[in-house]
Amino acid sequence: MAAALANDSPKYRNSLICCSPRTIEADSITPSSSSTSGCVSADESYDSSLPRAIVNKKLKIHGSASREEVERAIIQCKELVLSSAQCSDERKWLVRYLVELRWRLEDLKENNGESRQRVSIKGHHFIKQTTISSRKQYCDHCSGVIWSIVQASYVCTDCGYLCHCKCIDHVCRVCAHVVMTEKGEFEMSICPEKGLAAQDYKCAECETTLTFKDLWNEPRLCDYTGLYFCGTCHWNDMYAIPARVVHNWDWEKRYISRIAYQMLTLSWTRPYIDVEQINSKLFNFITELQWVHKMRTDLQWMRRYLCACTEGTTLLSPLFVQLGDVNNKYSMAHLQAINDGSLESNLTELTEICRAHITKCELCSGKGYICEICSNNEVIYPFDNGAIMCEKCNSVYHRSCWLRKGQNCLKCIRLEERKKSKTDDDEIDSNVEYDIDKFVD
Amino acid sequence: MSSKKKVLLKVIILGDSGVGKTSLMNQFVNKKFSNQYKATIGADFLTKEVIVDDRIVTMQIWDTAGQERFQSLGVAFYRGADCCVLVFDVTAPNTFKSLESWKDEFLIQASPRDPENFPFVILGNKVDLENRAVSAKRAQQWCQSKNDIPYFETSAKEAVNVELAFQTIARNVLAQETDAELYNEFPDQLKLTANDNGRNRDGDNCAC
Repeated sequence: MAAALANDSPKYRNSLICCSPRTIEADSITPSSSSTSGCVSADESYDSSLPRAIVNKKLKIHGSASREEVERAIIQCKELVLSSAQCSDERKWLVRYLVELRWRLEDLKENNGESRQRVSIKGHHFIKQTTISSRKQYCDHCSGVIWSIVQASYVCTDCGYLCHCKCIDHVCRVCAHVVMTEKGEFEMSICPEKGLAAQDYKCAECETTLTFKDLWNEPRLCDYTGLYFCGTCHWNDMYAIPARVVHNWDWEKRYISRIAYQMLTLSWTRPYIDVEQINSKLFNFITELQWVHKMRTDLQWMRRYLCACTEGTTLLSPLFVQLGDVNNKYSMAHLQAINDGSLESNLTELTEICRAHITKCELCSGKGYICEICSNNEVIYPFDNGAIMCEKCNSVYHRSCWLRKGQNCLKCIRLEERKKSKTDDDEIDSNVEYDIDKFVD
Repeated sequence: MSSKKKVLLKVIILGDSGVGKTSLMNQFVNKKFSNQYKATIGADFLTKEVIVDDRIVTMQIWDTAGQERFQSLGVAFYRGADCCVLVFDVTAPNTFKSLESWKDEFLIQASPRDPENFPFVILGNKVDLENRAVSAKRAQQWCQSKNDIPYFETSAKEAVNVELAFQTIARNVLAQETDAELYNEFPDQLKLTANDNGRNRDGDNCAC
């Protein structure tokens, strides 16, 4: 099979000729309950996202397995689950495999053993592709061309992994959607490279042996994961790297592996990056970012006004909902838009529209504030530049008035006095007088 | 009303171990009950066809192992779930307390489009037993506070309310789907319940 795959490799990957089939003997690596004991710590999460495929090698069932065979595999898998340590990584993947087997059994029952319409492997949800694509497609497993007119193929509905029908049972990449959703953040150290020895001189995904001596199967470094891959799992895709962006504001595209490519494409618009926590110095360095960050707090206030107004809710665009969120995280798409300046202009426009609505709308402007210190009739809002809000009682003052009054909140003082007057009757009179003296002209 | 389209509902049953998830599923699908406790391994499912308002609905009911926490089943498992059934044991208060965390973790893993209105159903199981520890009122109150989740008191052993509960699940999910089509332009609905009236009316609480 390897030879057949090798002949139709994608054009742009000049150095790849051959990929070896991954059929390491089943018995050489036997899952043992003692190998992974105890809970998986967060530090090891990367390993857990790309597990050593111990499960499938022992329990592997071939593509055209019958119902009985799948049922037998289910029983076997159950036994392995029971023998594995609780909370271990091994158990996690065994359980997932068990679920996949059950899905498969159901699919077999439904289609009476005909070719599989839906396949679940390693977190992927594959469906059979029926439309013929006009674009040239390559198999994510063997990197060969998919001749969609004559060859059937599967595509994962979650991550977009594409492969030949014949390759489906050999898929070794875990669904990028599962990996990213479980991790919930990007790798934030710049190219955490450990070297080939740490990988046992094997491709980080398919475990093909890698050596710099062999030109046909050279190791390729993935700049995102810092791991080495073979040409089949690393197509020299170029992408901007989140860690480099957040630390260096470096938008240069670098070579990454296929898994990293899929993870980054999927998560490009997901708000995963807490710039404030990871690198707060970036705000001083990139003024646009600082400006956007400030605008976001304004948006949060505007959101409270708009949510309660029927007309206002129509202004809650997707951009607004994303940026007006309290968690203050950024997606790569946001950062990119900040870099090319489009977010700044979009946001200015957006806030202007919202501000215009709130000040004009009767419902919204009714919820504005009047500065108690200067008592002039101008309505102010918490998102106004010249306004400041008391952190304790949420009343709003002009910033200048607030400074003039020695940064004291009148309402807080009043509340304090009332509390005192309740507990201690003697002090009431003096306090009230003091109050009046001070604040009524 | 009657649409010929085949509908498949993916229902996931969650709850601490030993609350009767498997028994409930077995009672509903196979009409059988066994007193013998046998821990579920990983996850298993059964399917059953029910008829809701002239529509044939296939319910794919996934029973999970209470011991397995969420990490092992993972996002791929929860993806595409239409309804989540949370089960607790009315004789064991701890199983009731952990409902909250099951609910939260389900929402994290499944990340449904509209988490606020995702259809949950709470089942208080084992009502046939004498030593009840969680009152119906308490459970009902909790459900009301969580956006009015439907609550049923069931007994998988005596087949009390099991049929009704699952029928309601199917109905609610279908209603949700049509609802979503009709009302998705109004994302934030405010529910004003009678309880809120009259609260905060005392002059003492006024913040001015």
